[in-house]
Amino acid sequence: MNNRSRLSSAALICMLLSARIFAVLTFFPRSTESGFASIIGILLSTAVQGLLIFPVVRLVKKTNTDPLSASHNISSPLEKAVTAAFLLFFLYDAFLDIGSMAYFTDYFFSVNMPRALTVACCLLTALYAARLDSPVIGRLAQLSIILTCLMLLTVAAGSAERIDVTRFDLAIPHVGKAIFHAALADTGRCECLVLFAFYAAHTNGDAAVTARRFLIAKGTIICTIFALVTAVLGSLSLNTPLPVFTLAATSENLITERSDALFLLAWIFTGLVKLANLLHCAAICIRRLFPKSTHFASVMAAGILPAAAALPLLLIYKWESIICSERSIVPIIVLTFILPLILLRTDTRSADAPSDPSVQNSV
Amino acid sequence: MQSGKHILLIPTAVLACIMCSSFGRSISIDRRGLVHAIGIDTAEHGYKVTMQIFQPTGGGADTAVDSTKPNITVAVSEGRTVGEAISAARSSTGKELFFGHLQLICIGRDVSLADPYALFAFALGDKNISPAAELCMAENTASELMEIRLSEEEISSEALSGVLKLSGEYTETVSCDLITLLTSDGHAAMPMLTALSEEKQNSSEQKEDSGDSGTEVSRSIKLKGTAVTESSDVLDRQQATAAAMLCGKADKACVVSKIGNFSVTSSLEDISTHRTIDLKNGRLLLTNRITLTARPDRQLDSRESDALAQAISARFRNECDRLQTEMLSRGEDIFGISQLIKHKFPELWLKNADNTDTLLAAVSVHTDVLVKVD
Repeated sequence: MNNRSRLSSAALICMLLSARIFAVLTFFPRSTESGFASIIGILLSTAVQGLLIFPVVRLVKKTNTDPLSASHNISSPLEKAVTAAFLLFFLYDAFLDIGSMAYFTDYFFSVNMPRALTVACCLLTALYAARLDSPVIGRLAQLSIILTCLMLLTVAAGSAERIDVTRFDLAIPHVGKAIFHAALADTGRCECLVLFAFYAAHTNGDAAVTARRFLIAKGTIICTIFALVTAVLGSLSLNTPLPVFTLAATSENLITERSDALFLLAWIFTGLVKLANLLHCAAICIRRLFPKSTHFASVMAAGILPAAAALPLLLIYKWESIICSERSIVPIIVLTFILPLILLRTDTRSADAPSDPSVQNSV
Repeated sequence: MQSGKHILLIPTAVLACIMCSSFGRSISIDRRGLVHAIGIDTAEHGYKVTMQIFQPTGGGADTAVDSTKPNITVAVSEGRTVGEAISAARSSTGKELFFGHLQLICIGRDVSLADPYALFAFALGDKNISPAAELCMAENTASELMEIRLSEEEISSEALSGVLKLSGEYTETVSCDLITLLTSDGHAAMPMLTALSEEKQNSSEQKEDSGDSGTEVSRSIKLKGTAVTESSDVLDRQQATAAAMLCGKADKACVVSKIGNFSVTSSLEDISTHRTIDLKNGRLLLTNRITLTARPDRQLDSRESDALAQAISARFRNECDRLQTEMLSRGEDIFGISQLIKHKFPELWLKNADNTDTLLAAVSVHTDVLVKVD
């Protein structure tokens, strides 16, 4: 991969932020007991995530490759296993993402559009973006973050009158437990860490600096969103199904009566960027596992598989049980911490050897 | 080959347009009923809901909206819950009701607000209803207010909403919205409206035109006072001003003070409230610091200005202290003191979670009012 087609550090940070912000804009974890406890939990989990991605950063510094290429340098079966693990994660996350977009579009908009059609629209758009190079997806992600920041500023300005700092309280029976649950819930929704492990070796900048900047930006934005929702909605934020949407609906200014349309714009944009990113990564994994597959076929397969899995559940109205279930943090820990740690500890004698150029170029 | 691919885009785009038109399942605007205000009353088997639905064609008007005539139609329905009553209204009106423009929710005096989340489940579950929708209470029934077709504004709910907004701004009452009610700890203050009827003798000319003789009943809506939820209390104008100041919702006000032998009317502006709560000698001490600017209607010298400042300060200090002490002693917290205790002393709150009324009653209140005469 030449320098021109490499991801810039800022673009990677925006790609990761898009993924995380989409999750927080959609809905808050069901385990949320107090907005203030959640903010503390998020700060705590952000610090822990810094330790979690440390092996990835070390691996990139030492071998200058991603975990897939590093495993290829050790043995072919290991490479296949690592690639399959990443592929499964990306497909599962894309499945959740497609389903969430269709399910919540149904909720957010006053439309009578069939869910199958929403899935088709989201999928086609994401497939189109996923076929592009990662720097192009990175530029789309930068645009989505700018839009999100504008949306947050507008919503904050429109609801500034209602902000009440006394709504930050810890009057809940088990504060420590609530903070721990909030930290777990935040880490469980940080699929972006796996994306970081996948992309870290393909950026212009230093992986450690990128990771640090990303974690600071992520912590700041997510805490700001939680703080804004808590300060404006108070205990209502814990009882409303979609707190950020409710916040946007209450925010008004002289031009618009409510800001939920702006929220929807940012939500759809971040969702599509995340989906495109996941499909792009899944397609790379498919091409590694099946070297004979074409670029088009791999992207189509990466998109159609999760959509086909999500569609029956969406159509029989069983999606709520999936989206509201607690997410396990085990896959994230395995892919961002344990696996890179194993690869780091294993003697990578051929680490300096160039990795498979065809795959590198596709990233 | 490339142009062939591009040609494929045309049927794809056409197909996408047809698909995106929801396979003909979309609802045209004339089949939608735009609900602007809802009145909720109790009924024999649950709730009675009265809705003001926007009717865009005023009789005899050239344009869709005739501001000289009432542009609403009223739908009434009943159900075990408010949600069920709304569903029943859909079938009775034959329209797909849309709540995106809902401005006002009026609650009948007899409706219990002990569990606001259950009562307003219809609003929380509906993506279109803004949580910033204004709330008010009817002196008698909400349906009585909803059925009055005001013609001062384009639609009745706009006129009502305007009355509430301005009354709140000038602290004649304490404005309330869905968020305030749902985040309150059991009690909230909200404007109380009443319907007035006035009998007028028809003029002979009108009689000839209309064909009926006798009297015409003119109906209007007036602000009755400020109601406190889950309480029979109704705050008068003076108490409402103090309550609005203590809730941090006061913006402007008007006060008449006696300075020497003459009365001075002052408009109060830039009202801000800062509250702190401390634990002193094992007792909670609430300190309210209110600052405001008074603009008297006549030129005063420095001695008179000081006297005016002292008079206004003493008046609001006494009013705020008395109102807050009385209400807290009854456990009626419309000021957000519970939240202040939760924020500052979470452990104390948790320790008294089962007996919050006693905790509130034990709070000592001290108010400082700083008046700047402009």
